Amino acid sequence: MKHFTFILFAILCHINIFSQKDTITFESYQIPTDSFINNSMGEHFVQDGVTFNNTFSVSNGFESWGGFSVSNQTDSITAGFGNQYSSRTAKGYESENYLVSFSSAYILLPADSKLVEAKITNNTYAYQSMANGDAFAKKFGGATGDDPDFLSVTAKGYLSGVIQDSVTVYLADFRFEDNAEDFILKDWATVGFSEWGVVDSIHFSYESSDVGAFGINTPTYFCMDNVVVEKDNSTPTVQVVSESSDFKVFPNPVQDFLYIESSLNKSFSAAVFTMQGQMVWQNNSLMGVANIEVNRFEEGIYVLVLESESSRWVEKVLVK
Amino acid sequence: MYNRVVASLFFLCFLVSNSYVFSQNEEFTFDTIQVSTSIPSKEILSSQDLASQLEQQTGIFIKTNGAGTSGSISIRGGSASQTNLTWNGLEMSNPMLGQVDVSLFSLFNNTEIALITEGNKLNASAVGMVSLNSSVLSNRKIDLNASLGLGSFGLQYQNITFSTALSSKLKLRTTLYHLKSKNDYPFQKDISLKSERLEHAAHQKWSILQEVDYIINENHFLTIKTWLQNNDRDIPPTIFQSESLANQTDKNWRTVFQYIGKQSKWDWNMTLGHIEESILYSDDVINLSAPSSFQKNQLSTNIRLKIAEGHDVSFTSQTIFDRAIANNLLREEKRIISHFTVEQQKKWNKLKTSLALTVPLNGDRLETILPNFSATYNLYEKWVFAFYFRKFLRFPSINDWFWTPGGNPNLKPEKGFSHDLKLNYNSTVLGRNTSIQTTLFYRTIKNRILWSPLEGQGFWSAQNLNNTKSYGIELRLEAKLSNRLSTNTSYQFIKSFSTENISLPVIRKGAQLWYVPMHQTAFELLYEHKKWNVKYKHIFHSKMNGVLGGLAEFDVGELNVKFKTVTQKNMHLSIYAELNNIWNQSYFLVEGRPAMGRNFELGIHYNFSKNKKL
Repeated sequence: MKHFTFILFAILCHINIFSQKDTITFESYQIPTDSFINNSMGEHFVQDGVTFNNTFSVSNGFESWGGFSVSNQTDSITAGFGNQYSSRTAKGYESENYLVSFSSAYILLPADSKLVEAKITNNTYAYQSMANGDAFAKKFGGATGDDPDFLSVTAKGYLSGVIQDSVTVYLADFRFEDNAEDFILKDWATVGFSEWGVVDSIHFSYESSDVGAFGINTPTYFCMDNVVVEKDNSTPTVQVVSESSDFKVFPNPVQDFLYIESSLNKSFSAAVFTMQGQMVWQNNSLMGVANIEVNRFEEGIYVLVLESESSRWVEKVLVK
Repeated sequence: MYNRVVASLFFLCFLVSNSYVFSQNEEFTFDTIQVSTSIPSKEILSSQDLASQLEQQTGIFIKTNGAGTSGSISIRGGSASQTNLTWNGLEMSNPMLGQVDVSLFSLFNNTEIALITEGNKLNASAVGMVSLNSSVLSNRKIDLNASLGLGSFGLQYQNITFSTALSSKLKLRTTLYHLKSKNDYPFQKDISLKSERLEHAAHQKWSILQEVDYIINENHFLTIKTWLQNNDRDIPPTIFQSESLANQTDKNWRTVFQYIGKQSKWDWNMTLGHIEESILYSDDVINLSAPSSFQKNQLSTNIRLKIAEGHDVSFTSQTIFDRAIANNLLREEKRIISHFTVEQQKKWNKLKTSLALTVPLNGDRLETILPNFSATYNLYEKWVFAFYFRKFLRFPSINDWFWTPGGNPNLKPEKGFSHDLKLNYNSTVLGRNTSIQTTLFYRTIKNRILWSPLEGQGFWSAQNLNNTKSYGIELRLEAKLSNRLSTNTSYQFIKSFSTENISLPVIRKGAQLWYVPMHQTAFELLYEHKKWNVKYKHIFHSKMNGVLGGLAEFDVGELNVKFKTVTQKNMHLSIYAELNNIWNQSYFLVEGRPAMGRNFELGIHYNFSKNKKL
């Protein structure tokens, strides 16, 4: 009986903590018809305490970006990079607005929050590339339709830099014995995260069968809408973020990816040293947001040195 | 500016130190230590473009995307950017890309091609060089050459050259060229699938070349050549694509002015050149229109002084002013690249040496001094030993520096050393000429420039990523087997690799670099008898690494027949035929771009001349 009471108490506590579910639809963003916002204000997109990262920089007049942008573009036909902000569904999930994700994307959750589910689909650029091929990437299935191609995006949930769980979504899958089952996602699909515990950040990474010496050839985009988050209240994030006037480094401690955000509109260099002074990673030409795949490193404390023309910043990073 | 002054002083000092030359009074000779492989203009009859003509040469690899589409030259494992191409002394590379698209070069039957892989004529920024030169203008009152041809997959071409000597001093030559082809050749996307025809691959180009020679007197000579060309090509889909609507139009205007002066103690030449090129790449599938254009102005001078018998000194300067405009360049980008070279050549009996020092300047910035040393030794007139050593430097292209995004103004130039050891044997056995050439080479390149999508960065950028080494051997045998039969056979082995591991792009230390076949052979058998000229050529390329994976080995045969039908006093008429890829091999030089299978070409060449001199 005592045992049963304890379980009941635990369940009640659980329900009490995660009783509030919010569905983020991004409809509050006022976007001109058939347009998008790629955060020219220099900030991330924050909805109900949930942060969807956006890095946007203009270097020598060229706009580059990563993370998420908010769009209501409706072109489900036109191929190519110029149509990167359109969902293949030509709209959001039962709405107009939706997110488009590219490159290093992550979500920061408020404290004690759980990601419950989200709607995901392809953007038109990636869809058309996989359906027909382009100058850089192959038509999925190949000439015969038998090539076992796929593009997947994996969401990994972290708490204080330690991975908690992951979910892989296939944006296209041609690995079935029966080619009739092969698909490229063209409708909104529900991705459930209900098995996950509390996480403070979700990081996205891609895998494709079409890989060359320069990495994935397939355009690495996906669209997202109706993100459901369950939380006890709207407390701010507990993400450990180290920040200077020019740089932001997170998470720390870190397990897989260490993110560096620069507010500078110029290139900077980053180097990682062991405590013995041995350099283990270096890149002298970074801009905007960058990530370092630290899971290749031994566990321990490292020194991260960030330098630009005008500033230098040193930070200790714990790799777990 | 300071460095430019230093470079000028460097030359002035050298000049003064050798000024006693003018007090000497010995016969003047020009000994250059130069090794090159040449294709004479008389062999260029068919529609073959520069890529086709070059691909049989030892040490050269042509990376082409298929008939009519872009192609680049790689010499001894170097990249396309490390290969120079000149036309009558004018440097032809696109300064935005730092390389040459060989498909843009129409070959007329008055173009002579030389492949230069070592020696003092090699540009200080290149590991290899292809030199195109117009043949000498005719002294005849009238010299008319016309070629008309057709071939498989909609190929048609016309080439007319009219030369006239208006006086003993003034000669003119006009060349008109037109080619079009559908290139809808069959290919298989997969061995299990039916053959299909390449779509959206049509190609059309026309050229007008006007040349004027003016002989001021026996010691002074002027020439002006101006060449207009329009090249329009549809870009076919790769085998990984459903369709393509991409198209590229290139419009070129190239003009070169040359002055050559000779005196008993010196000779002097100056080349002034101007290139304008506009490129429009468009793709209706992705609603893309990407115009770009560039201008190139070049001033080159060379003075050669005879110090004494068998002792020459020369001074060379070359300044190239590039300007480029493109959507992804923020403004009109400009740059001035200069090279100043002083060279001393000496001859001691059977030994000839050349020592050159080159100062390369980027604007006013002095980079380094580049030595170039050559030595050749003749033994019993049959054997020639040669050794070449040089340091070279290649500046990044305008796109490498300034393209947005990814251009990197902090890029360092690529630098390297090249060593070549050559042994040639020439002999006449039973009245028949035999030549055997062997070359060993070793080359290092530092700060190799590559574009790469760096970790955590949403776009590609130019980086000095790695160092490379190349070494190998080239063998060539040219032999007259009988009065009617001769052969030209070559083999090359190239090992070209990175000296370190790179994660992005994935380059393993020691692995063969992309698009560098380790083994290449070319075999040519020529039969000449009376009016007949029959040539069979067979080339073999071993497998290669590409950015998307491996490319299989292949071998291709080609049969060429020429028959002179009419030969009269003032008129020659010949018919020629080519059967290319005779064994109908299916192969790729670039992933996803199938090469043309068996194809033929049939042409007629007409020559009329009036010998009476004015």
